[in-house]
Amino acid sequence: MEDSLNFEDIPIVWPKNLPQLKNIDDRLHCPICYNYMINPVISTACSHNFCSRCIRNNISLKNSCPICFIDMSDGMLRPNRCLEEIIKCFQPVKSYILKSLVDKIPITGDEHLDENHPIETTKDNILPCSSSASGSLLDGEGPPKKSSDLLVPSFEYQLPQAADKLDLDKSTPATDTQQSPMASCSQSRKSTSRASVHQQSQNTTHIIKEVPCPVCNTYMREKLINVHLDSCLEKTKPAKRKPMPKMIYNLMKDQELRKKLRELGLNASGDKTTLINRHKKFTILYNSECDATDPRPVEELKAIFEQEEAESRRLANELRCAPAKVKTNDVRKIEEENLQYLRNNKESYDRLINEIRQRPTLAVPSLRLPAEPIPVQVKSEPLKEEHNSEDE
Amino acid sequence: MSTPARRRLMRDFKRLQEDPPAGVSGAPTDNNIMIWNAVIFGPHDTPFEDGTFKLTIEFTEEYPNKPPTVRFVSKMFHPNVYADGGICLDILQNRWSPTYDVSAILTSIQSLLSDPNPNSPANSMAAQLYKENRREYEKRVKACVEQSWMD
Repeated sequence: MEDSLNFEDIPIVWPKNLPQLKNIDDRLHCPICYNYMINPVISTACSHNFCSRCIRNNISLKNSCPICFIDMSDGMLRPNRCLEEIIKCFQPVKSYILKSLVDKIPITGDEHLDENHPIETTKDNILPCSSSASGSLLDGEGPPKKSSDLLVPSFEYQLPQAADKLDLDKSTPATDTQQSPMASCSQSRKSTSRASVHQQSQNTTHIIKEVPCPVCNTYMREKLINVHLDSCLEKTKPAKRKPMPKMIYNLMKDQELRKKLRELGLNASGDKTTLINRHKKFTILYNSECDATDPRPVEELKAIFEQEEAESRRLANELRCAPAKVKTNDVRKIEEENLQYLRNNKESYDRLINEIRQRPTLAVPSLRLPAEPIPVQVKSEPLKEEHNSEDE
Repeated sequence: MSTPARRRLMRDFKRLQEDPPAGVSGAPTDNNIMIWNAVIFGPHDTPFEDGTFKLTIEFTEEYPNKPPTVRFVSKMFHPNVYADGGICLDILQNRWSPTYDVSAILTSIQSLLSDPNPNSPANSMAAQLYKENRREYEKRVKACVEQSWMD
C-alpha cells in the first residue's frame, strides 16, 4: 500500500486505569479528520470544536453540525485559542506522560521538555522500560534547554527595550500621574531597566542627537522617534486577515470566475465546474487560515493548494485509466459478478473471518462512541426502484 | 503525497484494528486503499445468526465529507437490502456525518440486520414476509446464511 501511516499523533494505548487521560487526548482530536486539531474553531451554535478547514469543507456541502446536526454556517465559527494552546502544549509532552506512566517514574518537574524537540511518539519508545533514571529519559532527544532559559518568558526580552526607548525620547521626564501606558509599563520594570538613569543623562545634553528606532533600527532625530515608532509598530503588527466573501457562483459567468481566479494568482483554465470548485476550495483553505493565530503567507497557501490540486488530478487520471464498471440492473448478471468478486477476494475475506473468530470470545463491544451503532433510521422512501424479481 | 481521504482511511483502519467492534471486521484491499472488503457476522438471536456476510466499501476522495458506497457481495434477504446488495440506510445517505468511521458504518449495518425497517422496503418480498409470514422470512434468511458459508 502506498500510503504509509504516520504514527506521530495516533492515540497510543493510554493506561486503562486512567480513562480521563484518553478522554482528554480524544477531545483534542478533530472529530472529522481524527488528527490533532489544526486552527481549532468552536461553533457558536453548539460549542462543538473542529479543525477550521475540516468544518468549513463540511459546511460547503451541508449546513449542519456533524455531531449534533444543529443548523450551522461558517459565520458561526470562532477560533478557539484556548484549545489551540492546550493542543500545542499537550502534544510535545504526551509521549513523555505516557512514558512516565509506563515506566512508573514519578514526574518530578526537574526535566524541561524542549518544545522544539518533542520526543518521538512511536510504540517502540513507549513500551520498553529502557531507562530507570529519570534524567536519561531525554537522552538522544536533543539537549534540553537550560532551565534558566526556560524560566524567562520570551516577551521579557522585547518589551522593556521598547519601553526604555520610549522613555528616552520624552523631552520632559514624565511624572507619575501623566504616564502613558507604555511608560508605566517600563516603570514597573524599573528594577530590570535603567531607564531613569538614561533619561537624566539625555536631558542634560541639548545637542541634536540621533537615536535608533527599537523596532527597525533606523537612526533618526530624537524628536521624530515617537511619531516614527507609532507608524513603525503599526507596520510590523500583522493586520488580522479578513476571510474571503462567499460567491454566488450560479450568477457568475465563466469570464468573471476566470478573472477572480487570476486575481488570486490561481490557474484560470478549465470548465465552469472546475473553476467553481477551484475557487470554492481555495476560499475554504484561505478562510481557515484566517483562523490561525499567525496565518501563513498567501503565497505559501497557493503553493499548498496547487500541490493538492495536482495530486487529486493525478488520482483522477489513475481512476480514468481503470476499467469503468458497467452498471446493470440484470439481477443474474449482478449475482455472477458478485460470485466472481468473492472468488477473487476469497483470501482477503477468509483473513477477515479468521480475524473475528480469533478474538477473545467474551469480547464485550467497546464503549467507544464512534464505534457504537448509530441509531438506525431507514429512509422513509426507497432511493432506487425495487428489484424483487429474483424472489419469485 | 497522500490526500486527506487516504490519511483518514489509514486512521479508520488503525482504529478498527485497535478497538474492533464485536462481530465485524474490515480492511483495505491489497492494491487500493479506497476499496475495502468487510465481513459482518449475523447478530446473535436473529435469523442471521452464524452468517458470515461479505461486503465491499468504496470510498471517494471526498470521504469523510461524503459517505462511502457500501454493498453486500454475499446474497442477502433483508427488507432494506436491494437485489444488487445496495443498502437502504439513512446514515449512508442523508443522515451521514463526517464523524463516522468504518467501525461505525459496520456496526450500524449489523444492527440493521437485527432491526429491519419493513416500512421503507428495498426488497418488498422480504418486507412483506417479515410483516406477514415470519416463519417463511426466517426460512429465506437461513438459506442466505448457509450460502454465506459457501462464498
